[in-house]
Amino acid sequence: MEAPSYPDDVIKGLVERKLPWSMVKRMMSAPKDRDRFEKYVKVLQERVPWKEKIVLPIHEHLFVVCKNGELIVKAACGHEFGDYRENWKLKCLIRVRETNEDFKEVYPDFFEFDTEFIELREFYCPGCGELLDVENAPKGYPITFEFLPDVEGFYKEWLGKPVPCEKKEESRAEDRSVNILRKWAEEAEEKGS
Amino acid sequence: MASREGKGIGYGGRKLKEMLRESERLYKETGYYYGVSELRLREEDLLKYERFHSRLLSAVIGARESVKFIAASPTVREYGELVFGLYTPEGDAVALSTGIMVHVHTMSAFIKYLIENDYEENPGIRPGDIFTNNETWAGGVHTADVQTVIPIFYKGELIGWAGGVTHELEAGAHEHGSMPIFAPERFSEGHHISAEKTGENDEYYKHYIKRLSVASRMPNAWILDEKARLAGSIMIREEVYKVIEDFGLEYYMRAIRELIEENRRNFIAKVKERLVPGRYKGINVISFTLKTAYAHPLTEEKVRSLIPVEITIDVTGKMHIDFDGATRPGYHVYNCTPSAMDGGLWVLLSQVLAYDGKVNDGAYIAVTQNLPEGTIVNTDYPYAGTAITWGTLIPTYAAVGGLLSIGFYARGFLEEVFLPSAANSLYNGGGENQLGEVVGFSVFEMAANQSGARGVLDGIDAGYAIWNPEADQGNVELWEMLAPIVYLGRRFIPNTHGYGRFRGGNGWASLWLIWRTQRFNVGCNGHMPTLPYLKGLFGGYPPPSWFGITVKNTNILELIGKGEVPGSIMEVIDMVKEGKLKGDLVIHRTPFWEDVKQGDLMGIYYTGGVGFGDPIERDPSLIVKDLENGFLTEEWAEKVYGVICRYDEKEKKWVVDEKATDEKRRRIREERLSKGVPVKEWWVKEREKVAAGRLPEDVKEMIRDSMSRSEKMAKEFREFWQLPEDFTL
Repeated sequence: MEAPSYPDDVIKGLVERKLPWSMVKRMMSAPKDRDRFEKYVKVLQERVPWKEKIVLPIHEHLFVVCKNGELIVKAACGHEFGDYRENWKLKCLIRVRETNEDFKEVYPDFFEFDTEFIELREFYCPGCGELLDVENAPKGYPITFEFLPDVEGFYKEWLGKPVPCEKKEESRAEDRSVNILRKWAEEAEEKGS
Repeated sequence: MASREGKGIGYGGRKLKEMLRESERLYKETGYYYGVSELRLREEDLLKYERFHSRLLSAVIGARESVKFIAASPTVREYGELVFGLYTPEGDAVALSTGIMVHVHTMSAFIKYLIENDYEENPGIRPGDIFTNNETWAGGVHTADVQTVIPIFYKGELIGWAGGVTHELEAGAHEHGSMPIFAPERFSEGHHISAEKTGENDEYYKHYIKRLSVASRMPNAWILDEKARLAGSIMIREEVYKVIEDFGLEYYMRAIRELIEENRRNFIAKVKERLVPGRYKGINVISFTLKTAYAHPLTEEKVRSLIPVEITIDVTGKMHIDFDGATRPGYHVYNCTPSAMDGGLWVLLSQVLAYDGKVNDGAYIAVTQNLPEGTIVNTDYPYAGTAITWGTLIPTYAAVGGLLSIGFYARGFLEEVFLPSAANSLYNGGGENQLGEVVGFSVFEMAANQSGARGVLDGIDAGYAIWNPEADQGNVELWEMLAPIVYLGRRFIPNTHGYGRFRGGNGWASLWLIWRTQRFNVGCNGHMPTLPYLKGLFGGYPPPSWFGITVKNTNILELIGKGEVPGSIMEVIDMVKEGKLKGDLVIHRTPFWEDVKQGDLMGIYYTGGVGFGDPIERDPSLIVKDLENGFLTEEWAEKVYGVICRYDEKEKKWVVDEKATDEKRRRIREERLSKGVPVKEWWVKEREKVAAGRLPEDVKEMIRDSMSRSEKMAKEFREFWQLPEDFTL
C-alpha cells in the first residue's frame, strides 16, 4: 500500500482535533504520510501569534523555535523558556500538592493519598497559566527532564536537511540544565552568606 | 537422535547450542538477524513469501482460536488468557497468535534456557517430547503463567519449536488464586514446574498429570489448559509440516530468518519514521503496604521502589532503555527477572510500534535494555517472590510507552499518541463454594480495565489490558457458577479518570455478595494504593488512588427481601452511612486478605487511566457526554475542567453555560498564576530540606538505595540539588 499524502486541511483538522473518527481511524490504519512533519509544522506555525520559525513541536503548548540563530523553547502564548537543552520545567511556575487537603482540591474527598511519600507537582506556563505538566514524584526527587531531542541529528540524518536555524552553533543534544542549577545555588549561597 | 557421537539434533546435524551461538555471532558481526543481509526470497517472489507468512500466521492464530473451544479452562475461554507462537530452532519467535502476547518472548526465553542448559544431552529432546515451565529463572513470568513448548522435527532434524502459554486461575499457593499477594519468597507462590520434560510421544506423563491433580485447588482447569497448550502446539507443528511440503525445507529455513530480519528492519524504519532521536526520561515508583493479620513474618510491610527510565534513540534508529538507578529487590511478590522485563518490553513494542506487517522477535532484537543485576528489575535472589512481577513491569513499560508518545507527538503523529497506563486490581478468592466443593481462583475481570488517554481521543473505558490487547472482562455468570459469589453490580465510579484535554479511561468497580459459604477468604491487591499512580502527559493528571471494601455481618438479606439492593461500592458506602445497610464496613486503602462468609459484601475498584493535556482545554461537549455517562459529576466538571453546566429538567439534558465556562476557565488560569511560584523559589527551599536530610524516612531509604547502586543516579541527584560529591541521604 502506497504511503498517502493528506491535504493541509486534514492535518489542520487533526491538530485541532476536529477530524471525524472515521478519518482518524483511516490515518491510524494506513501507512504513514511521509510529508506529515512538514505539513504539521506549517499548520502549527499558522496557529501561533509570533514569527519565529518552529523547528520542533515538543508539547501541546511548547515548541523548539529558532530565535536569532539560537534554538529556544517558546510557548504558544509567546512566553520564552530559553535554551532547549535546559529543562523548560525549571522556568515554570510550580504548585506542589503536599497534603491530603491539597490533593482534595483536585480529587474527590473519598480518596486518600500517601502524602508522606509522594507529591503532585503542577507546572504552569508563566505567560498564560497553561498547565504544562503534572509530576507525581517522591518527595525530594529531582524534577524530570522528559525529552531532550537531538534536533541536529533529527534534521540532518532523518529529514536529510539542515536545521532551519542558520546561525546556530553546531552541537548535539546535551543536557545543560545544570548551568541553571549552579547559578541558583551560587545566588542562594550569596544570599545566605 | 541424541548427540552423544558429536552429531546434533538440529538442522544440518548441528547441536542446538552451536546453532544458537552461530545465530548470535552472525547478528553481532553483521548487524543483520542471522546474517541475513538481503531479503532474497522476499525480493525474488513477494507473493510467495507473503503467502508463506500468511500460512504460518494462520497456523498460530488457528491454533489459538480452536483450542479455546475444545480444551480450555474458564480463564482461557472467557478472557482469552492464552497465546501461541512458532519459533526458530534457536528459540526466536517467527509468528504468533493474538492473546497474551507478553508471553511470545517469554517462551523464547524458555526455549533458549533448554538449549543453554544442554537439554539436548539430558534429558534429551526427541520428536513428540513436551516441555513445560512456569519458573521465572527459565523464561517464565510468575507461577500462574504456564508455558508448554514442543520441538518440531522434520526428517530427524529439529527445525523449530511450537508453544503456548495459559494463565492458570489457581496456582496452588498458600493464598488462594493465581497470584499470591503476601508471599515473601517463591516458596509460597504455588506449584512450580521447573523447565521439565513433562511428556513424550505427544502425551503427558501419567505422573505429571497426577501431580497436577493435587497441585492446586482447581486441578481440572489446570489440566484442561495443559491439554489446550499441547493441542495448539501440535496443531502448529502439523501445519508447519504441510507448509514445508508445499514450500520445501530449504525455503522454510531461509524464509523464517528473513521474516525476523524484515521485522527488525521495519522496526528501525518505524522508529525513524515516527520518533525523534534524543533522550526520553521518566520514573516509575512502586509503593505497596502489605499489612495483614496473616502475612508471613518475612514479608516486607512497606514496598517502596524506584525505577528510573531512560530511553535513548540514536540517529541510526537504535533504541536503548536503561533502568540504571533501580532500587533493590525484596521479600515480596513484585520482583522481576530479565525474562519478565523482556516480556514487558515486547508486549509494549507490539502495541505502539511493531503492530503491523510481520510481528515477531525482530523488533525485540532491535532494542537493547540495561537491567541492572540485583535490583527489582533483575533480582539476584534465587528464591525471590515474583507472583506479581506485573505490579512492577506494567507501570514501568507504561511509562516507556508514555515517553515514546512525546516522540510521536513531536513528529505530528497525534493519532499514535497513546498512554498505555494499566490499572490493575487483583481479586483472589477461595475456600468452599456454594456446592461445598473446594475452590480457588482469581477473578480476572481486570483483563479489561482502563487505558490512559490518547492524543486525539479519551482513554478506553473498561476495555484495555497492556498484557492482552484483546481485552475481555468475561461474563459474570462464570464466576457465579464457580465461586460462592453473586454480582450485585459492575459500575463506573464518577471522577475516577486522570483528568486532561483527553481523559484517561474511567475507573469502575465490582460489588459481590458472598453467597452460600461459611468458609471463604478473599485477597485483593490494588495498583497503586494511596498513590496517584503513573504519570499523564502535557498537563494530564494521574487518576485517584485505589481502594476496596468489605462489609461483614450485614443485614443485606433482609434488604434484598425488601428490594433494596445496592448496585455499587459507592451505594454500599452511602447506605452504611445512612444506617440502612448494617454491618462492619472497612474501606481498604492497601492490599487486604480477609475471611468472609454468606451475607458479607466485598468490592474492588479498578483505577482509571492517566490524562493528556490541560483539563481546561477539554471540549465542553465532551464534559456533557461524561456527565450523561456517569463518568463525571457537576461539581468536578466545574472544579477541574472549569465547565459550568446545568441540568435542564424540561429538556432532560445537560447544558453548558458557555459564558460562565469562559469566565471560570479564565479564573482558573489566574489562580494558577497567583498560586504558582517560580521553580527557583521552590528549589531553594527544597534544597535546604534535602541537604539537611529532612525528607520522609521511606523516601530517604529509597533514594539512598538507588544512589548506592548507581553512580549515574547519585551524580544526577547531587547535581540537581547542587550538593557535594560525597552527599548522601
